[in-house]
Amino acid sequence: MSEFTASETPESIAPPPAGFSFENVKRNAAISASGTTGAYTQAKAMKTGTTIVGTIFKGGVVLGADTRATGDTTVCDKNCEKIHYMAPNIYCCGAGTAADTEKTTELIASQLELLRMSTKTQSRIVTACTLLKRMLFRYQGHVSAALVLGGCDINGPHVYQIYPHGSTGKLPYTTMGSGSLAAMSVFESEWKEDMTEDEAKGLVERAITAGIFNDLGSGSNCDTCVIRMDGSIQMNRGALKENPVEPLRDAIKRSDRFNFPRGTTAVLSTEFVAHKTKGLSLDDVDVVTMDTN
Amino acid sequence: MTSLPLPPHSSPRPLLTSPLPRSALTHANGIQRLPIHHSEPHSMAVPASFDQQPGADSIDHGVTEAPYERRFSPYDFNGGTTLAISGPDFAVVAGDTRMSTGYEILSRDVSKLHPLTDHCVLASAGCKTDVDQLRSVLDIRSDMYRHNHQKDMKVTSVAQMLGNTLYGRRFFPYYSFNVLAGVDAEGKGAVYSYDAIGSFERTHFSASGSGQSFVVPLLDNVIVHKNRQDEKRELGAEEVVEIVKDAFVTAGERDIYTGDKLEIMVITKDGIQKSTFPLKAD
Amino acid sequence: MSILEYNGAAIIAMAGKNCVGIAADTRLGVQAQTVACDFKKVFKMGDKLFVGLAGLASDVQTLDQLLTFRKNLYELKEEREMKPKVFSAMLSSILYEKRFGPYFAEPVVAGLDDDGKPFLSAMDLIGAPVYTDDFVVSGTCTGNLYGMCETLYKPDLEPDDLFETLAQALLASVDRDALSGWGGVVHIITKEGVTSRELKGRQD
Repeated sequence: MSEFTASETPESIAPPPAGFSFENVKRNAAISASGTTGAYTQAKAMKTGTTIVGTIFKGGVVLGADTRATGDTTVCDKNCEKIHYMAPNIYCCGAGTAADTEKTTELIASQLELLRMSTKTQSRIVTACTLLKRMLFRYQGHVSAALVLGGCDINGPHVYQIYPHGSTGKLPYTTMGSGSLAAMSVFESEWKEDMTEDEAKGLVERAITAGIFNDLGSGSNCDTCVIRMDGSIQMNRGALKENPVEPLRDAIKRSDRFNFPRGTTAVLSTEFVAHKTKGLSLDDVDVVTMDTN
Repeated sequence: MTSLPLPPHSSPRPLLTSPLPRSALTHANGIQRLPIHHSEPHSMAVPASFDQQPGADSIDHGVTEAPYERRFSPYDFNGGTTLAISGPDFAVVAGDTRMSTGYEILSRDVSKLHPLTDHCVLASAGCKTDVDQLRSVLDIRSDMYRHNHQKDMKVTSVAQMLGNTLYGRRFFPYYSFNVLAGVDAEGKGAVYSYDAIGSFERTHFSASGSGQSFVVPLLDNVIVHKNRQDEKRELGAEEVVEIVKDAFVTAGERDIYTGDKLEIMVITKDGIQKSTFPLKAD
Repeated sequence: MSILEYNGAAIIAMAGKNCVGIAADTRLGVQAQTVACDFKKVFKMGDKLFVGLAGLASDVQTLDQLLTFRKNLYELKEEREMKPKVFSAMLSSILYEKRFGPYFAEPVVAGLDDDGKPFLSAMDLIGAPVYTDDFVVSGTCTGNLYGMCETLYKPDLEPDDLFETLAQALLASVDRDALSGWGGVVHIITKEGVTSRELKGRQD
């Protein structure tokens, strides 16, 4: 930082206070009420109509998720990340409103990091669970995040499920999201105690695949994350890619009508603006000799 | 907000599956009520619609201030996309084979295409039971035509008949979105586009169903050559079939209700040629 | 009708070979009535950073001002340019802060990284980010835009070919949407500079 920069930020440009801002709420309610063609419907946020699962095995935890994000019945993101980082030894799968799952896990991850700095101990899964449930309960289900939390700590491997209203359950294996029934059908028929890592990974992949193919809200790839008791993590983005589009496109003799020769589009005006070089330099100003008389 | 159209009469006949009589739609204070009641305010009259999250807003949380009435909703939306493109001496008609409701897939292999004559195919998406009923009504009517006139119906006649059949249910419509394709008396490709209550038009191409919006602008651009200054060229049936495949792969990527398999029929004066193409199953 | 559809918009951003493009229509409407044909929806945030805002026009302009302010503040404090990734994260936080009383705007961010690689992201109105390496869309005809982009997109397009693809995708989409259109603009961002073109489109 330059020596000319003020060390303290003036109040007028200080960053906003922490927490949600409700300054638009009254305005938005007024907009909703003032509709001339009937009440305006609530604008719909992006959802992850998801399949997420988690299970413990002999030496740790395996989490799994699909990678589809939907807005209404349209696919918005074909390869999104639903397994979020919480702590070096804890990860968390999220289903529900995309922004809520993303930001809630981000917020609690940061609180855990601060807690680790002050206590100088490894984060425990139960701590993460408590912080998450307190946050969700405070907002009475309006922060709609349904979570599967998993990790390993001093007490062993743990999997928790957390509902949007803040209720939690500690379970050996669990599923959440719109594909939870499809995934649970696999767990209920195949899960057993003290599985090996490979068995657990295979089971999670099959459970997610059941969600991907049988639930319309879930789709694309299967992500998995293995958290072992020895502290190592294996994040598998795209552990299973069973829905590639390339083979389909390759099987089609693509019409050349999809290619546009240059000049296809009618243009009214064109303007080119070159980038400035980084910041101001002597090239940008007329150098005038100083009058020293 | 959608609501069922009012019936033409105000008879108090209790019809389970029909919209309420006019008297029941108006509250004592004169305010219009929704024909189908839910426990929560501002609920949709017909839960099956394109712009509603499946299952959302229709869940009763058991928190109600006043007694409410449960009603049977006669319509469901079973998803899917259909598409037809006409050419100088052919018509290509296609549809996916997924049938779904809400977030569930009911079947991966149900045809949306229905040949009515040797030169005419009806493609329909919407509520499957309504589509089935509509198909059998049309089959009966075209059979009667054949017996009365000793010849198959021409595409133009089928088009008019479909329009009449749909309009016959003006106030309790078939929940089906239809596209009719065939070759006409002169051997030219013919495509007709419909709304649910029988308004129709002969068009160059038509698409309907859940993936409609993904496909229509593409065909404007590629088939009709809109907004393009490069040279236009006549497309043969084979090239059109390949374009149809690309369009459906696109719809399958972005629309959750389109997928599993694509069924294509090429109609010429010699008859109907069928083929299929796989789509993604997720 | 959602308040997001009150004024109408169509925005696309697409990646090419060492370049990135962002296109938008120029209509400002009040529901079905068109009020202006030269409304700005794409804003230059830096040399190689653009943001497109689709939604309620007043929120579009408010957000533009807020983003410019926050970005300038960052650059004064940090004495370095804001990278697209950082800008995107900042925008996401600004939107999520108002989770329970949101701005009615869905943004699209397009830019080039330090090493000249394309960066694309899109968000819903409460800041749920979508990062892709092909294309992102926003507005009142997202179905149309997705359909066009999904079919027309090819990786590693040269700047001039990227322009044609973006322009055709935009024009075809807005012609089937009553709430957007009335002209369009396409910006192609390369290492050297920005080429902006006005499109000739239907005026209905």
